[in-house]
Amino acid sequence: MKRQLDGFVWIGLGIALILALFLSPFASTSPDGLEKVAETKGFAEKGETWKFWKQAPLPDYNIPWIKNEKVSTALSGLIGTLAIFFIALGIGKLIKRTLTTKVILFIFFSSLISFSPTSTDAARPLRTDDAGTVEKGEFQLEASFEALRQDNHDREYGPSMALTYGLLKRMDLGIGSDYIFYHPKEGKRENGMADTELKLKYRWIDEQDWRPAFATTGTVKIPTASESKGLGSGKIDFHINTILTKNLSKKLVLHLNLGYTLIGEKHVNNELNYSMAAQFILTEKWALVGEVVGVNNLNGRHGDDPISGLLGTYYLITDKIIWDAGLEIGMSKAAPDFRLTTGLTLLFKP
Amino acid sequence: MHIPDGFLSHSINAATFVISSGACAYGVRRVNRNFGEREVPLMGVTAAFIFAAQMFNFPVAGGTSGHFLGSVFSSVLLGPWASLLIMTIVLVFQCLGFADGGLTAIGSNIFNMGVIGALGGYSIFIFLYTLFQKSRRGFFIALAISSWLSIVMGASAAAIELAISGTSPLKVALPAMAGIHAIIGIGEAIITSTAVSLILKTRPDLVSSYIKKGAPYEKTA
Repeated sequence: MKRQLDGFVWIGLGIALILALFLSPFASTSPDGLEKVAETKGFAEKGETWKFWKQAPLPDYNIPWIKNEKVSTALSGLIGTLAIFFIALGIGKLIKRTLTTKVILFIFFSSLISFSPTSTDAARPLRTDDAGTVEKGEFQLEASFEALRQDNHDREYGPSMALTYGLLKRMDLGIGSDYIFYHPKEGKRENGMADTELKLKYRWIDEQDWRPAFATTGTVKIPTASESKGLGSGKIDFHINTILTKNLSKKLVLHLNLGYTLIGEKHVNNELNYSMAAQFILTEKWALVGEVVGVNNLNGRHGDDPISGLLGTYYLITDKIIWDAGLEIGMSKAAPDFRLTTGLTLLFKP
Repeated sequence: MHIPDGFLSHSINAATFVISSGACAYGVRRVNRNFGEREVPLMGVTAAFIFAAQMFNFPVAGGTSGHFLGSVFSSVLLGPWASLLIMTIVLVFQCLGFADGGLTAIGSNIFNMGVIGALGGYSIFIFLYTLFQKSRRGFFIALAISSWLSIVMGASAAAIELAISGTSPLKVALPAMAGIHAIIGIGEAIITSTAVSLILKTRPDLVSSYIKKGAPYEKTA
């Protein structure tokens, strides 16, 4: 018996989110069974003096800057429910993976534990954009390397470079491109320059009190990749993106993106792009990041829409040099099996 | 029932950590062998549901509250080993993200609510379900009793750990913990039975442990 689940997954998640949002604020605040026993039997004080983990982003299911306790609990419940859905889904997918993938994952996760990351505007290794812009008159250079494997075991790897300049206090302009080595499982290997992207970002609203920061970007994809080698479409694409960034607490920053891409290639649908990312600041130098990125290619079929999740880290070597690494795992057939990326971000003034 | 840091001794924390990690490692093998691509999303939804439901504390007698655990619930849907992994994910997430349950006590919490709650609870469920000859009524009786027991057994295990750690003598901790959780367990039994019966009505194919008369037994993780 093959189980059909797709609809049920979203209904079930919807029910869980509704529970978290509307029921959790009205939970009893009385001590639970163990706490009550600890109080009446006189060992409660033992538990309060000894906390090993002080990094919880939302301690006691509260968001520090929201004064209303009920709203604060409801929102932290909503965020938690959504996050654990993707975490459990990701772990489930990982368990089903092959040995090679597991070895890569093991090495990656051990390196995550042995290192640890922090500034709130480092974008890499996330694909989700944030509302921060490069300081006026300053340059930001991002150099990175990535390797990915498609679902059909075609491999791609190569270096990338992006340069961004702070034009105004709230506006920056960036240009970036990659060099791709394309190794299909069968067929001819190719390599060459990928498409080049030119991106202008403007931040309309700064973050204040409850208000998130809001920015928009406009991106033009210039077809510098060779169409005959199959590395690009040879046509210009336009992409607009809206970005919300909100510091939920000193330790947790959320970014939301919603965008639309006009694809230049004929007979290819335009795309709706969405993503959600979280930055979890562990220490002054160290942060963990995670995101879910998805595309809806507006053809009415969900089977060929890529969705993937990324886990990563960045480390401030100095204030102006940031190292990062990330691992992206495909959650649908159309997304790459996995993508590993690592890079350096340099900030400098001429 | 989430034990904070400081209640348990290092030796208890270490011992339960070893047992829990061993059980989880075997659980990963079982899930890897028996799960299809389709069951994986159900694991995500179940974890999300359990996390959300655990946030809702309902009041019980004498200024005390309790909340849903969900270990038998997820066992009945996905099998005990997947349920153990789900409980582990939920507990680690609550500990690291929300400071709910201590980091040093994570092994004990997984042991009480995962190993005892899911593996123990499911064993009792299957025993009773077989005893009732796999009838529909037997399914729900087994479900209610095993989910009630999962809470009482988990709480008793916590009491024994507290006693071995020298935090509270067994003759004090065990009756107190088992007593209050015998009441909280009623809530567990009601929520588990209601939720499973709703799923059985709408999507019976998702409840892997429910066997229709004459249907072949489907192996679960």
